[in-house]
Amino acid sequence: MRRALCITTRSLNRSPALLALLLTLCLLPATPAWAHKVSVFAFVDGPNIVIDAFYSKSNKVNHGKITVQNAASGEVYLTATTDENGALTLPVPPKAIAAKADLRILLVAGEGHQNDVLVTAAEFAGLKAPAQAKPASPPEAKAVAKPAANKPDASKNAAAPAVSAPAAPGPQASQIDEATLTRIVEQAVDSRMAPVKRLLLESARSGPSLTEIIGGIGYIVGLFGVAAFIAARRKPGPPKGQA
Amino acid sequence: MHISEGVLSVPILAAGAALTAVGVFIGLRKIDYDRLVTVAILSAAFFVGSLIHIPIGPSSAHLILNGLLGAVLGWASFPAILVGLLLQAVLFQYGGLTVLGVNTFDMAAPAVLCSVLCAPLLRRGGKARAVGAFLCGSLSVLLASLFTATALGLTDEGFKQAAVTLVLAHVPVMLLEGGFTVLVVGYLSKAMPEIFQTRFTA
Repeated sequence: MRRALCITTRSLNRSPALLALLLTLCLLPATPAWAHKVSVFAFVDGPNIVIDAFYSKSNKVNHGKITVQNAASGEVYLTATTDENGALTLPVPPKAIAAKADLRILLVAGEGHQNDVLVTAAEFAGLKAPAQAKPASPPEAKAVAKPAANKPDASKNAAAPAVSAPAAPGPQASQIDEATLTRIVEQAVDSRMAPVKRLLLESARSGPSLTEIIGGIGYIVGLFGVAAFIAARRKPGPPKGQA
Repeated sequence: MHISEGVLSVPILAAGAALTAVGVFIGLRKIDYDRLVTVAILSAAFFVGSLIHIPIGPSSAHLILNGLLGAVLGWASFPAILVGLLLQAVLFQYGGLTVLGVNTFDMAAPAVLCSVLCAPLLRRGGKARAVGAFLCGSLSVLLASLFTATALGLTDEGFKQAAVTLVLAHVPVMLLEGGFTVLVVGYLSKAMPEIFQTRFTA
């Protein structure tokens, strides 16, 4: 073992410049533009799925292919392409709402880059409009017509048929039905959570931290130590000139 | 140039893993006691090298350093690159564990190939060695691009498209790595001249 250490230090002493070079290499990556990992981020915003595809903070996936599929069965609901900024907004597929299925959002960015993210059914559990044609478009005349007796602003997300029943007269302030209340609360929470979502998105974009880099080098040093230990035990003779 | 998890078909993954296993086996047999340090240091260099990025127009590519590993380590590039890629997959989520075999082969096989091709030049001194080092550094990147494109082409994406994109994106990397390999090999030939003399005698 002592001999192993001896050899190690001898070799290292002989290549101080190489070591210095490597240390410099470790400190260089302060300006990141990582292109080996692609990330996709998705969350439900009202009736839509908002998707963001990126290699790094400044490097978006230009025209990446997005596939929205059933996480369990693999059935493909939608396919689309991101814009130049890696952004894409899709309606939550009515089939998925009906089946309460988790969604797998798959991004294929080309040259072997691919990643996916899961959107659980719980995230769009508030939506119950399997008959609705296009939740992404602004409220259509049909959707607005029915609950016209209620508050028009709250009917934007349109769980229309359920809401239209309680049009009874009475003191309006206390007569908010459950569905309306749910929507109001959801809207308030959504608007408050928006900055948090953005923050999470930002933090997901950072590259490898210094801890991970140093940790990796530590592993390599450790592996070298194990290899040197085994080699030292296996070959008791002078370690020069082995084949 | 890390291929992500889930892109390649199972036969390709298996073939890559098998080829890498053979390469690593040969590589480990060629590592003798004296060269452990060199292998470890270059494995670490490979591990951090991919964090250094060169902006190229709208995109960017990172250093690969497989040519440098090939020039210095020969067959031992296989275990060195395997360790580097394994740690990158685990710590940085670059690539992945199932594609580790393919990714290792795509990087290490060009390294070994170029080291064999350039060995006669590297063993000589002076300008011939510099030319050999440059060729080794740049050709390894070119071949790695083509190997990666082949793996992608065999599965699904068209080989030609992937090859063109990858090779074009890596032209600056080839030049840079060629120059970098010349510098390091030049230094090593003065500091540890035995590296280039004894390598292929084993």
